[in-house]
Amino acid sequence: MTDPWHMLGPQGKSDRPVWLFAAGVASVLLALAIGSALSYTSIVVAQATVSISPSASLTLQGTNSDGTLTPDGSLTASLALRVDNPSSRVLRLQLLAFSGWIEDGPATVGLNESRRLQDDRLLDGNSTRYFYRVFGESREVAGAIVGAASAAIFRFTYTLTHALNPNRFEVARNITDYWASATGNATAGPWIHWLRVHLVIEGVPVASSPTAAPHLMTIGTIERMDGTNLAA
Amino acid sequence: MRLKLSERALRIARTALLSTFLGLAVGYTTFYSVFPNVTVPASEEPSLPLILGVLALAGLLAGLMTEDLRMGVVQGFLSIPAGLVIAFALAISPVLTGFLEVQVDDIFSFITRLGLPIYLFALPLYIVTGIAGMLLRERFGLHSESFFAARPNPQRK
Repeated sequence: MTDPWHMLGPQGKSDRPVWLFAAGVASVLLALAIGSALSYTSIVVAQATVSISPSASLTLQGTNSDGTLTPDGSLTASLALRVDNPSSRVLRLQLLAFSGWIEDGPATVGLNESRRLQDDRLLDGNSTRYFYRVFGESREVAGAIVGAASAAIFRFTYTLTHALNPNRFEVARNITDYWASATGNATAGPWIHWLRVHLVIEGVPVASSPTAAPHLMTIGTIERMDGTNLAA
Repeated sequence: MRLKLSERALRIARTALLSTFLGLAVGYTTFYSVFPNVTVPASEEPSLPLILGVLALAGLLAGLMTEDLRMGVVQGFLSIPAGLVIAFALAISPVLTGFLEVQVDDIFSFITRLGLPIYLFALPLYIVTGIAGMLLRERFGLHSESFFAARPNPQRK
């Protein structure tokens, strides 16, 4: 009696097509695994090699003949941010936080005791230096792309006027007046800047679920900092 | 005697090959489940249908090429360490570029711990899909004629 379970009789047919199909599936799996390894490697390389080199400069507009700021003048910090990307991934600048402090000469020499309490401090050996934060801002950046294996320079300006922030502007005026009288140059006061940059690696989906593992939320971003954060 | 040794060697080679094939599926799905956003294809979070599909397809194909249940179970068990090794190799692949900043033993524990659900899930799935594959093999009367052919078991029809 023939076993009904055997459709093709006792001889059957070769399983060669199954082996060939399995070889195809194995090839696809191997290609996916190798592709994943290459993708992961490129992301790790990007996280390890991307560097930033910022340079900031300060200019005063609307000044008196002695270089001091007039009440309707303005103080502008210009930031040039160079991002070097040796990796094979395309990056997108997402977030930029920038702070700029000027040494508070009047507070340091004891001319303004009340500001000493508010200023940020920098320990310099046995002495304490007082710095006033003139700029402190973080902003979302759109359309700032750093190509693979290339560098890009982004320019940002931060402006302080009486209209934008009267209290801060008056303190900045007071400090620049001090440096103008002490050194003859209103911008001669030492500046400290700090910035933090968030770069997104393109093509890496970021987990949006609040229950996602922390590494899934951070693996696609690169954070770089530069300078001294006196507010920390 | 010589024929028996040769047959045994072929059976071992066949089992090793199929275990590696199953291990490749386990390794890839483990890496995918741990780092879904860096794999190919990339996604925000691991997709259960994709993991299930890859493991079930691999288990079914291995079953279609397996001639007895005992070897099918052995292959299922061997696929787990093979998969662990493959997932670990994928996770430390950036070492080749010299940029891996995490310790290798940390990565091993990471892959072992976070991949545990896949390892625990793959074994029964491989056994079930392997049996299904073997039943299909019987149903269509498939037999091996290649150099991997093992002598038919006299207890089986």
